[in-house]
Amino acid sequence: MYYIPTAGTSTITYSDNMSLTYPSKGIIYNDDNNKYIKKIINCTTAASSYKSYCASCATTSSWDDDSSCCSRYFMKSKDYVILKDGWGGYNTWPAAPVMPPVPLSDRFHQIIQSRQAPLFIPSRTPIKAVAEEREMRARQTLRRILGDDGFQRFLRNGFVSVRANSGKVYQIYPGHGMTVVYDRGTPIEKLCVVLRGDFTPTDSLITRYVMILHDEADFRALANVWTAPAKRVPNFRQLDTRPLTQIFQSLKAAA
Amino acid sequence: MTNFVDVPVFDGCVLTIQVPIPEPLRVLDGAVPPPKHGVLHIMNPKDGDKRVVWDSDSLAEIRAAKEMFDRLVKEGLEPYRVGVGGKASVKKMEEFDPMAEQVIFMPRKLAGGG
Repeated sequence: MYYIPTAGTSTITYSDNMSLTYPSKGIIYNDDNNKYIKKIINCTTAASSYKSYCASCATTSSWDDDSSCCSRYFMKSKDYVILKDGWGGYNTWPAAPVMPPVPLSDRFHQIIQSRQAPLFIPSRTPIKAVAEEREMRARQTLRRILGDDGFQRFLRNGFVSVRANSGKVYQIYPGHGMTVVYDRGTPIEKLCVVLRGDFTPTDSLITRYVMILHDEADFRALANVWTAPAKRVPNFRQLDTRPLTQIFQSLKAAA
Repeated sequence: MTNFVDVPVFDGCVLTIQVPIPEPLRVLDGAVPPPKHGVLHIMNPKDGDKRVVWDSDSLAEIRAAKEMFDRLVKEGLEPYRVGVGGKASVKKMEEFDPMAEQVIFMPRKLAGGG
């Protein structure tokens, strides 16, 4: 249950008639352990005097009505939790871990590192390890067919790409996955060909690989043909494209 | 003990027949066949990819492999010579070639639109 006091509320009375006074703008809710939690958004004074520890100096201090420690305490984070435990006591601690400020040099280092990482985030499903003997055997066969490099690509991407005699590229997925046909990089259709019976996913892939390379027209005649899938929009990371010197200047000014 | 491979007869693999593996030939256990050995891959739902190897230096094994090849073709399987090591070449075999590195017998009759 959430209670959201309006701005300017100073006294909050709990269900057991105990009350605490806060300046304003807090969020109170009753958690699963029947504890009253107040999340203070902004606090400069507190009416109740109780023990707390100071996040900035890591010492226990008394938090008084007009304590200067109080204002220092909330100076940076402004987001702390006050918990009333089951015995009527009150404790306070940061709602989120207080992280030490990241040095400017480290932040700049992170920015440079992020620029070196690839912008494109692929959404492919790598092939998982299996223990089934039939599937392992099929993968050994596929490895022999594709070679080590091709097989590594298959494990990483989750499909096998093969260029047929027509020049079209077929993206073959294991199991009952549809085969996507690409013409000059554009997906043109999806073909669904399955093996009846309990074949392993990789055996099914090998069969389609062989059929496509042998006679792709025959493969297409056998398949259920679906319309071309929409070309997937690449998932690009957002990157600050400003020059590094400019970023450094802005970071330095903000520090 | 005689080894067999199960070969599907009709769609859906409900019915299979057993084709014996001739005596000099053996089923491959490891991942990679020994050097100068060819492999017959017979796919079926029960065993998955069953691999029978022959030594291309042994006349007896070549004869046995040819015998098995012909029997599997007679049962309706289609043999394809598949390039290894990423060559991406597939050729349908009309007759047995003892120098073939890898022959895949496809259950063509089991493939269909899904």
